[in-house]
Amino acid sequence: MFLFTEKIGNSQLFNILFIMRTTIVISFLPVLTTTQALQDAWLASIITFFLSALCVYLIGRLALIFPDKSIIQYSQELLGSWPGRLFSLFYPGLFLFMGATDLRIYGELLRSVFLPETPLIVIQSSIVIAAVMVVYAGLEPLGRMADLIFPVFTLSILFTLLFPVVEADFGNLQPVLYNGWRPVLFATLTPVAIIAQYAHLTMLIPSVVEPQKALRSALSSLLWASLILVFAALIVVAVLGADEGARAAFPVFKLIRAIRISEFLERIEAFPTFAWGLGLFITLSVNLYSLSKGLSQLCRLKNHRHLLLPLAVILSTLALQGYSDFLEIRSFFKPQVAAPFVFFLLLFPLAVLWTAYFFKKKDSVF
Amino acid sequence: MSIKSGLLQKLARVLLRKIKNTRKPNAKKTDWKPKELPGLGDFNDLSQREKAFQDLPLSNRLEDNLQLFRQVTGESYDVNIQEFQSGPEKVPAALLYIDGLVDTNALEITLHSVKVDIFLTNMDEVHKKNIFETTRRRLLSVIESRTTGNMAELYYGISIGRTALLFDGTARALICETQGWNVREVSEPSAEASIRGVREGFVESIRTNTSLVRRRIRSPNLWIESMEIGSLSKTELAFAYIKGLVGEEILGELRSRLKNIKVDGILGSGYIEDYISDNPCSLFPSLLSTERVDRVVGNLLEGRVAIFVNGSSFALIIPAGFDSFLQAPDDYFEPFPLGAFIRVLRYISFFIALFLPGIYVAVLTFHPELLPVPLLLRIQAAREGVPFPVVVETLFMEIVFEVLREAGVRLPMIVGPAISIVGALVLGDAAIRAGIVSPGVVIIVAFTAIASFTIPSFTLGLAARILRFLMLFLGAAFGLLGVQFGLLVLLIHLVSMRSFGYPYMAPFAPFIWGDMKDSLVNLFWWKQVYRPKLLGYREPRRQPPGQKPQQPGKKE
Repeated sequence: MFLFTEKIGNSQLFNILFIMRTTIVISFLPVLTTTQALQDAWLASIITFFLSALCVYLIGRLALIFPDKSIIQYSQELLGSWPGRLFSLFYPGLFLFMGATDLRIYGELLRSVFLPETPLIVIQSSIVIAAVMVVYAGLEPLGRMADLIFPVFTLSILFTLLFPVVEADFGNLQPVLYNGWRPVLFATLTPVAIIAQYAHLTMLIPSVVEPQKALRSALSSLLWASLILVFAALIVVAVLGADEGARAAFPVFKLIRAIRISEFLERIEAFPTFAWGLGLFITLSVNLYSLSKGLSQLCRLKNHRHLLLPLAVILSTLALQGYSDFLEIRSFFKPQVAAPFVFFLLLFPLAVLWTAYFFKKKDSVF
Repeated sequence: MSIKSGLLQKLARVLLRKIKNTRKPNAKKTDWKPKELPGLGDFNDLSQREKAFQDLPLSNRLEDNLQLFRQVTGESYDVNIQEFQSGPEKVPAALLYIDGLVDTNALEITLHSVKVDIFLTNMDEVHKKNIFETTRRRLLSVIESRTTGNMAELYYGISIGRTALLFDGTARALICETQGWNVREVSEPSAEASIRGVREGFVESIRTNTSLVRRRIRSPNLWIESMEIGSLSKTELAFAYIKGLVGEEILGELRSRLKNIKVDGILGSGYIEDYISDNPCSLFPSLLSTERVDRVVGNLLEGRVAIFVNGSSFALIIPAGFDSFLQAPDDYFEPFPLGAFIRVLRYISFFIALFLPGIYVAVLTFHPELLPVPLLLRIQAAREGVPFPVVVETLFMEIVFEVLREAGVRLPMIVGPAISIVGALVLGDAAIRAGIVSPGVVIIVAFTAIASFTIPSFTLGLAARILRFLMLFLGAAFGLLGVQFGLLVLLIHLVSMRSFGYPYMAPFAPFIWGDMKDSLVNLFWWKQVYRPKLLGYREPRRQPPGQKPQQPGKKE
């Protein structure tokens, strides 16, 4: 009688997307570290928001035309059975790739900050096993985990960013637009590419309680995450200086290490690391969920849980083998590399689907 | 020698009995023939016996009935059969009851009416044919009574303290309410102490318990359903709820789960808990058991169901969420800021009780750089000369403490404090002086122990005690990463749990802002306008808003 509905509330969708976005964007602050925007990183963050919002709108709007279907299902409806399947392979591939990259970044972060002698596989397993467990338990527990993690995560991040304010030197933010608009616009490319995370909307919307409000939840989560990003970019540049911030691997952690509140509170980076672990757990679980759910729909399997374990193994292996060290991840996130790659995976199928939709609409099928 | 003679005596006795038995039918000649009862012989096993007397009809003859009754109950010494003759026609009659279960006064009244008062009635009415009806209608009107024509029903009646009255010539029995046995007095529950709370706690009698609840909720919409569970023990079980407030699906689920219980005996509400719990393998309790009347009433008013089991002073409350296990009565009887403060303190203590040893071991083993240098130096200096790694030290002290705690519970009240003095002071102090453990570990373990004592629910405390060891191992093996993993797995387990459809971690996950008023903190009573969203959804408002008291003449 108590049916286990695989539903998540709209606020849970907001929490999930907010945590995912903030986790990745804060961790290595791509607006600052990937290009030479330097002290204008905060400006780049603002522009990032508008460009990302456009992408999210494109993704979400199409998904809302088929509120009870995932992208795997409606692409088959729009393009026909076999071309549809071919095009819907893009998104699981994207999820797999993003999950692996996020996982590797987390491993590198923990290895560099806390556990220099621990093998990467151990660090990664601690998150992957938990993620597999929660996806196995279902989407509902996943949404609830997001509910639990959201306040802890947000408070930790805010404290991390607010503590250093005492040491901020806002003179570091000048001169504004010293190199003109070009590097600023260039710096937005990578963070906008990371908006590929919102492709999860196409898998999550069928499970949302009120799908019509899902796009609004997604956009507001993007807005709040962007505010935090702007704030982080400001604080990092103000405290560390633009050059040092851009050179650091993980600027926010460098920031928190650099400050001493008092004799006693000197090494508080455990808190952001903890928050980051929780955030990555959510990110990875959603990736695993979308991946297994997508593949099971593609192959018309009844239960996506059977795919979970093999996919988790593939994902961890990819995370281990995909990059040789952190420098490689960093060079991958250069806008020249990351943006075309991700935009191809993300926007090309989207463009095809939109076109197909308009043609079909003309033929008044819908 | 003595053994041999004993054996000889026994042999002789057996032989004698055999001779007697063979002679018995010849010696005692009556026209009465023992009715052959399949299934009630000496060599019939329990299930056959239970089945045999289930639907035995009573007979017209008193002798038959008594013989039957003796076959059913055997020679149980507490079962009394009082035979007498009633009325001017000297109709043979018998009173059946069990000693110790009946109220002697009520028994006296019954006897008096059938022996003496019967002469006050009309002669016609006490004729053998209608003496039964007369007694029922006219004589026993003071005492509540019912009739039955079934041996099983008769026996179950007297087994809860009723008295059966049988007349010759009537194939039915009169069951009179004469219950009256000793029950423990209503007293303050010792396991759930409170400072300003209600001092009444439940007792082992189900009637007393339901009456305690009924006295506090006088609405006719307090419904109490009852059923019997246990093929042999026939334990009475009742569940109380407020009709129209509780979701019917919860009640339906509860009824079906209770009906599915097939067991020989129920000795306490813990048995029921095992049978109807949603998460039997979980360390965390999914039913709230309490001895406090105010707690049960408060939960009923929120739209939950309370289950009472006869013979147990613990009521079970369903559905229960995680937050109900960290509520204590005093939160509600103290004004808002104080009650809220101790509530928050309890949540923090729960996390300390779970994680502190694990974090201590993890930090000292893997991340000593996280500690401020003076503190680290201090700890390291104190650890100088300790021959074990931190984890062994901590594990050792934790085990010592757990053993001490268990010993303190098992020992009689008078010896308890002595043990804690020996354990805590002597053992702890000696261990430090001998250099086996460092003072830091003792501080951590002691603080963890004290924190775990603040958890109001014993079951939840147990869960924390067991999981603490798990966190300790994870911390020792993988550092803070391991503790984080443990936390995640624990949370995943908690959020996937449900108690009768109610999400276990509500209102934290799923997050319900409106229910926060009574979870992490509890606000003023006049602020708690709505019932918990997932429980009292049928009648969400419990009071009109805006009842904040104001000083006279002062305007908002």
